[in-house]
Amino acid sequence: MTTIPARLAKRAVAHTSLASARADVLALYRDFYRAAPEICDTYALDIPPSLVRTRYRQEFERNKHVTDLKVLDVLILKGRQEYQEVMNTWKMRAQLLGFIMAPIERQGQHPKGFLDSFYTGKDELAVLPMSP
Amino acid sequence: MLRLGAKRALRSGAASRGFQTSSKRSADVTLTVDGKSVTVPQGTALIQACEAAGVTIPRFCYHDRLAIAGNCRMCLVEVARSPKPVASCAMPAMPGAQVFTNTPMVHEAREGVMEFLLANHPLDCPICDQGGECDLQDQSMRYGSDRTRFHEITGKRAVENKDFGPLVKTVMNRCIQCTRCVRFANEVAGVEELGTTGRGNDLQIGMYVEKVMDSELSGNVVDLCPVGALTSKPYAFHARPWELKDTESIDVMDAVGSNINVQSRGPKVMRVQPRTNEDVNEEWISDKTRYAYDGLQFQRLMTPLVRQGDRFIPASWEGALTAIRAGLTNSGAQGNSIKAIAGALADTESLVALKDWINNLGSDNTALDCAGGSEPPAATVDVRSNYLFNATIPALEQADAILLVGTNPRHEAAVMNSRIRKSYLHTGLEVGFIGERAETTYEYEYLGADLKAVDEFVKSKNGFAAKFKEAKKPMIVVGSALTEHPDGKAALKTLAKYVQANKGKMLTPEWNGFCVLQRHASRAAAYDIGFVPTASAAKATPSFVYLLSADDVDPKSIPESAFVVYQGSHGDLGAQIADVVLPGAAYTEKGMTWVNTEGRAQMGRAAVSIPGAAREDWKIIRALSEVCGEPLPYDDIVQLRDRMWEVSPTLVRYDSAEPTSVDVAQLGLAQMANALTPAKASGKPFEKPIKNFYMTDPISRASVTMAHCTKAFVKGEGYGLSKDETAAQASFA
Repeated sequence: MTTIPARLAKRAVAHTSLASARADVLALYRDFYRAAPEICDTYALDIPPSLVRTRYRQEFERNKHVTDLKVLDVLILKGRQEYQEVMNTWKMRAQLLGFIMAPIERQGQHPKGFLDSFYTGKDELAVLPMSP
Repeated sequence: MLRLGAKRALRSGAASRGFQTSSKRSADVTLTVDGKSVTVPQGTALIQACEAAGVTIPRFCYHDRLAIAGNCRMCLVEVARSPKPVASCAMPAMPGAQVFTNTPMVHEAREGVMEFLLANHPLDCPICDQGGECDLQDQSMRYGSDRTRFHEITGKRAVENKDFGPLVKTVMNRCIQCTRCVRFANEVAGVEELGTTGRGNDLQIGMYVEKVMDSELSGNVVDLCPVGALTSKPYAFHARPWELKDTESIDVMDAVGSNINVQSRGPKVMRVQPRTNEDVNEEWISDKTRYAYDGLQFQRLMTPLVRQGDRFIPASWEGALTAIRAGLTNSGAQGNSIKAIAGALADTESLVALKDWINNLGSDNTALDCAGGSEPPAATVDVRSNYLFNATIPALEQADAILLVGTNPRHEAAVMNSRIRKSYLHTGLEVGFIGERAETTYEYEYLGADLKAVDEFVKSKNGFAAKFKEAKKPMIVVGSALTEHPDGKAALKTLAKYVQANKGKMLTPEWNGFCVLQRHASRAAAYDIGFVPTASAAKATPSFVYLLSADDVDPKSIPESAFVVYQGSHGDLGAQIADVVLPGAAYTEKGMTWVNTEGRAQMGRAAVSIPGAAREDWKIIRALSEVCGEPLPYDDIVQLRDRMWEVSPTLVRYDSAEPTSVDVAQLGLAQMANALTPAKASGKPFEKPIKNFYMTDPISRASVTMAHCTKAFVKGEGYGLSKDETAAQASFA
C-alpha cells in the first residue's frame, strides 16, 4: 500500500465559539467510535472494540471540563493527529496496547514510596542493564 | 614436545639447593625498537620488549602465561647484524640490539609464514565459531595474500576430530599447531595426556588414546586457541561475537570470585568468559564458571507462589507478602524461634538486609546453609583472619610448603589449584595433605584422613612436618568443610596452637600462613556480617524459617509445623519445602557485592534483565519488612551500601583484600586455641565436601551442560568419539 502522507490529515482550526469546537470534538469522537473495529483488526488486538471505545471515551472525558478555546484548539488538533497516526498504522502494536491497557488511574502517575514501586515493578533506581 | 614430568623428576636437585623465596634481581637491558629506546629486565623476550615499546607483534603460539614454543614463526622481526629474521618470542632481548618490526623483510617473512599457514587451513570462516574473534582471520587481513598458489590435487590436509568431552568441540582441520592448548593442559590444568603426535605437517593434537579431556579448567583452551580448532560445544552456532554485549561481573560458582565477562544477547546470557585479574584468577576460569550459565534459563522462579494444600498457586507480590505476614503471626514465632538460613548464592546486600530484619524482629537465629550452620561456628568469627584466606591468592605461589587440611582445592577452588600447580612445577614446593584422598594436579605427601593425622603432624619431627618447619613461607590451607566436621573444632584448636608456636614464620606482618578456603560465594560475606547464630539462639526451635537461597538445607531439620519462606532464583530443594516462594534474581541479573575467600569485596554487574515478576533480593526483604510492620531504613542501594559500611567497611572497599594485623590475628588464634572442644573426638575422617564438581548449586544443577559433564567426567560414560559425539552435537547445534 502506498503511503499518502496527507491521508486523514486535518488543518488546524482556530475556533471562534464553543459551539463550533463542540461540533469538531463530537466529530472526532464519532470517528474514533466507528474506527474501533478497524483498529482491532489492523493491529491484531485480541480485545473487543468496546474496550477500545471505552478507553478513547475516557480520554475525552478526562478533558471535559476544558472551556478555554485556545486549549480546545490544541486538544482537537492532537486528537486528530492521534487518529491519523492510528488509522495509517503509523504506530506500533505495542504502543497502542500500552495506551489501551494502562489503567486510567495510573496515567501520568508515579508510584509513591518503596512498597508501591516494588509492587508495580517500576523502579527508577534499579540497576538496568544497558540496551541490548 | 614439552615434558614437565621429566622436569619434575630432576627437581630433587633443586630442593637441595635450598628454597629461593624471592626472584633474583636481574639487570636491565636497553635496546632500540623501531628507533625507540626501551629498557626491560634481562631475560625478557624480544616480543615483550616490543610490546613495551608500543609495537604489537603478530603471534599465534606465544602466550604470556605459557612456556615459549616458538613454532608458529609469525612473530618474526628483523634485528640489526642478524642474517635472518628472528622469532621475537624465543629470542631474549639483548643490550644494544636494534630491532625493526616494520621493514619489507619482516613483512615478506610474515607473509610467507601466513601463506604456509593458510595453505592447509580450510576456508570455512562463515561456518566457523571463531569467526570475528579469530587471530588467523585478523592477521590474514594484513599479511594474507589475495591469491593462492595452492594447486595440490590431493587437497588440503585432513585431520580426524577428537572427542574432548561435552565442553570442547574440535575441528582439527583448522589447527595451525601452535600447541597453546598442549602447553596449557600440561602446565596449568595438569592434563598431561594432551600432547602431540607426528611431525611437521602431520603433527596432531590429541589425547593419544580415545579419552575425554578431564579437567575442570578445560574450557580455557577454547580461549587460548587462536583459530577455530577448539571451540565451545555448548555455544556452537549460537551467536557471533559482534552481536554480544559485554558485562564485567563476578563469578559465584565458588568462593574465588573469578572476574568474568558475561556476554549476553537481548535477555539471554550467551556465554561467560574470563576477565584478567592478576590478584584473583589471572585469566583462567573453571568450567563450572564458564558453562553453568544455561542453568539460568531452567527451573527459574518467575512469580511468587503460595502453597495451598500440596500445590503452589501463583500469587501477586502483595498477596505473597501478606501471606507471609499472616504466616509469621499465625506461627506464633517470637524472638529466636524466627530463623533465617542463608545459602551459597545469597548476595551481600540481601544478607545485610535479612540480618537487619531478623534482628529487628528480636531474633539472633541467623544460620548458614551448611552442616553445623545452625550452631555457632567452630572457629569464632569475631576476627576476620579466622575465616579468610589471609595470605591472599597470589601468595600461593610464594609459599614453599603447603599443608591442605580437609580440602580438595581442585574442586573447591579450581583456579587457585592451578596456582599451586604452577608453584609446584617451577619452585621446590612441598605439599602435605590431610583428609580424604583427592586427585590433585600435583604430588602431595599424604598424612592421614582424620584428627589424629593433624595431631601427628603437629608432634612429628620428620617427614613432611620437618620440611614444613624448615620452610620459610609455610602455609596451612584449611578447608571450609573442616569447620563443618564434628572434629573440626579440635583440629582448628590444634592448628591454631601450632601457628601460635611457630608465629615467627607463620604469622608476621608480611606473611599470614593460616588460610581458610571457603567454597561458597556468600560465606565470607556472611561471616563478615556476623550471619551466625548465638549459642542461645541456636537452641531455639524454629517456628518461622526464612530460606535465603538455601538449597542444601536438610528438610528434616525444619519442624513440620514451621512456616517456611523460600527466596531465590531457582525452584530447587529449598523451594519445595516452602509455604511461600519469592522469586529473586540470579547473579547475572543484579549488580551486587560479593566477598571472596580472601575477603576481597568485588562488584558484580547486571548483564540481563530479571525474568518474570522476580525482583532484586534485597528489595524483597525490604518490602517484606514494610508489610510486616517495621520497614528497614533504606530505600535504595546507596543507603543500603551506607548501612553495609556501618556493618563492616571492608564490604564496600571494592577490589581490595584488607589484611588483618598480626595483633588482631593473634587474638583470633587465641580464641580458637582456647575453644572448648568435646572431650572425645569422633575420629571420623575428613571427607571431601564436593563429590561432583559440576553440580554444587541450583544454577549448575539446572544446567544441561553440567549434566553432560557429570555424565562424561564424573560417571565416565560416553567415552570415545563414535556414539557420544553425534548425540552431543545434535543436542547443542
